[in-house]
Amino acid sequence: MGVAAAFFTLILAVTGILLNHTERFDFDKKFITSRLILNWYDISAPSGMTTFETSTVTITQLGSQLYFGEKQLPGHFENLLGAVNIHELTIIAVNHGLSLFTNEGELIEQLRSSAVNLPSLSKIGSSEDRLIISAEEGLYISDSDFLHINTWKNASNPAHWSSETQTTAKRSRKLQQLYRNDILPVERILLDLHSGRMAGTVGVWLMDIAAILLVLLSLTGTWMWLKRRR
Amino acid sequence: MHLLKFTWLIALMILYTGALSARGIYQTSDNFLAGIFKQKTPPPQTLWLTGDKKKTVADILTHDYPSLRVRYWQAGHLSAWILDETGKERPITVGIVVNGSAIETIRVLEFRESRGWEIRHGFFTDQFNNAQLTDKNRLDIHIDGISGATLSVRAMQRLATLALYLDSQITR
Repeated sequence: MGVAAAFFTLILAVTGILLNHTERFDFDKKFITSRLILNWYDISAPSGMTTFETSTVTITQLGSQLYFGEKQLPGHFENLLGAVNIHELTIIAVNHGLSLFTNEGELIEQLRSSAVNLPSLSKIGSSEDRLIISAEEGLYISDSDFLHINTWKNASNPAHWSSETQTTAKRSRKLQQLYRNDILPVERILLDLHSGRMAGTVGVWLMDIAAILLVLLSLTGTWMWLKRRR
Repeated sequence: MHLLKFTWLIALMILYTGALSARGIYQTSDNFLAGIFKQKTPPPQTLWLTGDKKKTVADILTHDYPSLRVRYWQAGHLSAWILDETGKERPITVGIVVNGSAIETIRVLEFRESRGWEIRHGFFTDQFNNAQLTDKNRLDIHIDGISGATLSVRAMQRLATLALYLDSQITR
């Protein structure tokens, strides 16, 4: 009984101490990457992906996440509509607007559809090193600094529209793992170990029994000590 | 008992619909700018956040600014900024006009959070009028909070401070 109680006491004490210092150790910001534990928690990534390729980088949407190469971009994104590379910048179009990135994936500026008056943005492309935008209202062209967007009237030079490409099996597997690696914080594991929930309902009962054993040990131990003193 | 449950249900529905209706676009960026610059909106310019600027902006916001450049519109002593900041979970879009180093107007243009929408009202935004930046990059006035909208209030304070700082960094 003592050995069993010691085992559970150790778990309770160690996880308890670590939980007390969650913020100091950033346990709420560090994530579990072990496939075994992620599978135990039945954490999976969405299977559907949308991919667009530019001359320099592959952009993929997985769930509400966007991956610039293998770098996950901060924030949540709606439908990925296209990606083009112009003047060593990557422009990504999603439902709610355009985002300009350096080729290293650093965000330069985000233009919401409402801010650039293109509420029905549908696809993007390029023509003579200029960004071309297709929206329900018509075609638009951006200046070289991506500051002004005007109606595109000179359609004599056809635009090269960004079109969706197949996500390779290798990339698909890699991104699904990256996606899963960003879901389960260490804090969750500590909490579940502490409460026993890691092993489901049985684990909770075991922790309850361990706690009762500890109470009994404390009481009987104290009783025996008092008895010996007399 | 049933009547009590029904009353609670109705109250919850009203509160929920209130929160939903509070989300959305209150004013488009174009309308905001047109109102400020009297239909003659100047072309946009950009301020790049590099070096010390990036560091100071991160100090003001308590986190890095998400992008490398900020768009603004300027005419004479007026500069207008349309900035996003997250209160709790979703970004709030705010339009801010700085006139001669002091805030002239601040408006919530789009609100996406589920709580804290009260910050759009004039009784709150008017407090920022004439606010200036101190040497330590803080607002020189006290802003009264709103119960239940603490995070949105803080987001507005950060954005007001940021707009004043950015205005001090542009060349005239």
